[in-house]
Amino acid sequence: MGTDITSWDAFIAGMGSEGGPSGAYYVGYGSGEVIWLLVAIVLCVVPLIVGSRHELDAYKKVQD
Amino acid sequence: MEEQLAELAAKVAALEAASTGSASNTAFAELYYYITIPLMVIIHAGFLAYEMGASRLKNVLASGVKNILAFAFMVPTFYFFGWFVYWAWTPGLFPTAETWQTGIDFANPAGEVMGPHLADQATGVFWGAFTLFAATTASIFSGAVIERIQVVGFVILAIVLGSFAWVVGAAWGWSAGGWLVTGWGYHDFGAAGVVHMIAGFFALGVLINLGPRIGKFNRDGSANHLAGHNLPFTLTGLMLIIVGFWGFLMACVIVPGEGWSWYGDMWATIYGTPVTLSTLSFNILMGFAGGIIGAWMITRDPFWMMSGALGGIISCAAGLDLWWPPMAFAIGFLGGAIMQPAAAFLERMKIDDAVGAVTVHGTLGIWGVLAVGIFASGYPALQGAEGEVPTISFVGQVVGMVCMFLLGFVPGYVVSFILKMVGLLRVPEAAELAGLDPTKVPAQAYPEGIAASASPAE
Repeated sequence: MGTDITSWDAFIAGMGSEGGPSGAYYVGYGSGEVIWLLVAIVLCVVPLIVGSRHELDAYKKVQD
Repeated sequence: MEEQLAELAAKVAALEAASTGSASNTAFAELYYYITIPLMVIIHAGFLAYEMGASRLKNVLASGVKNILAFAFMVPTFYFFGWFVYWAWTPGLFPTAETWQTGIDFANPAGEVMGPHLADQATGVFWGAFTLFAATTASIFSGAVIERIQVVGFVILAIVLGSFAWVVGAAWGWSAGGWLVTGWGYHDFGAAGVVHMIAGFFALGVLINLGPRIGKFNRDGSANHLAGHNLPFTLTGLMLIIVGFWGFLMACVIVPGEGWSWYGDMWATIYGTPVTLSTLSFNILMGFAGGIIGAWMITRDPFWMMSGALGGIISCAAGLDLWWPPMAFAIGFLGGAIMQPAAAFLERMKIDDAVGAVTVHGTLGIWGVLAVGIFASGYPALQGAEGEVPTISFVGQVVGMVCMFLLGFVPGYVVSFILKMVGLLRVPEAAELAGLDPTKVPAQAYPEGIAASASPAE
């Protein structure tokens, strides 16, 4: 987590140079993207599953 | 080679000529901040709807009056001394002679830059944006204390919060020269600590002295839900607050290319570290969405879902300039998910926070500040060479968090205690039972009538 950036001045000055930073500066650049992407996807899917169960239970109660 | 040098010199001369006396960038910069002001006024349209909807029928307009008046009093008081506090209070508990003079130079209410001035086209728009931040803190506090606080006592508290307490927090932690930043690397891009924590815990300090609404708690300690008379109005108000927060977060950015800008060609945070509007677009939307979905999963309640929208943004706010967007979603989701349990805990402590302000702003403000320390430690907190500037750290964020809590809670508790002693805090019981609208508002919210539900304990 965190960053390899130790100086904003150096980071900005090095952008565009050969071997220099691309410009991406977010937390976890180069190491955490896929993990957090998967976490976000799970946090979308799980609520839908749980929500669906709640919804169907509610409909069943009304019908009974 | 000589021809190339001559061509280069001609290009440089042309660029210099184009930048001298050019109004286009200055006009853009001033327009940018000018637009944030009406966008932030939308926050207040939202809070107005929110609070009036959350009030029972008999107190609707009184809540509205309170909310409108808080905004109104922020304007002159921030002009008189709030703006000065931001510039003067950077060193710590007290200004130094040097920072006092800085305050005089930039914010003397009797000085010429605090008015129409052709050579200073920036002060008014910056003052205006900050005044709207101040009004936001007052509105955050306003909802927690509805239905039983006296208007004048409330306005005094709002002035203490909006034109002093949060401004000290901003001077300390939302300024490149603030001691929390220079000494501890405190990072709070979107003011999760500086605005939301301070306002939320100010409200807590007041609520302890104010006491709960009549009928909120039973003798056995159980709590009754005192439903507002118009939840759709409250939900719409919350969505308007979200719209307005885009303006708030826009105003957290420093435009490039001006004499007072950090960079010639790059947007920056208040600290002078880089940020882009692209970053904000990604992370505000992801935090907003995560907050709603997290709250939906736990509560199924539209009130908490829309509170989660705001709570998700607050959870991400401190590091909005730094998050990988799916991470902002997860941080917002967790914020949205913990809101209702946190509010329930507060209720078990016998604190009657009518709209969840302490939870949404205080508790999630803490989460927002700490999230930066947990996930974004190591980033330089300011511009400068490696080793010469502080870095963001968990300890620094904790120090900042404690400061923001105290800056909110202590003045809220102390001033409300004084107001209570002199009889200016709480309305009399008879007025509270009869309703504040019939007691003191010369207008009726629904003159043709509207069905009212009886509250169980009355």
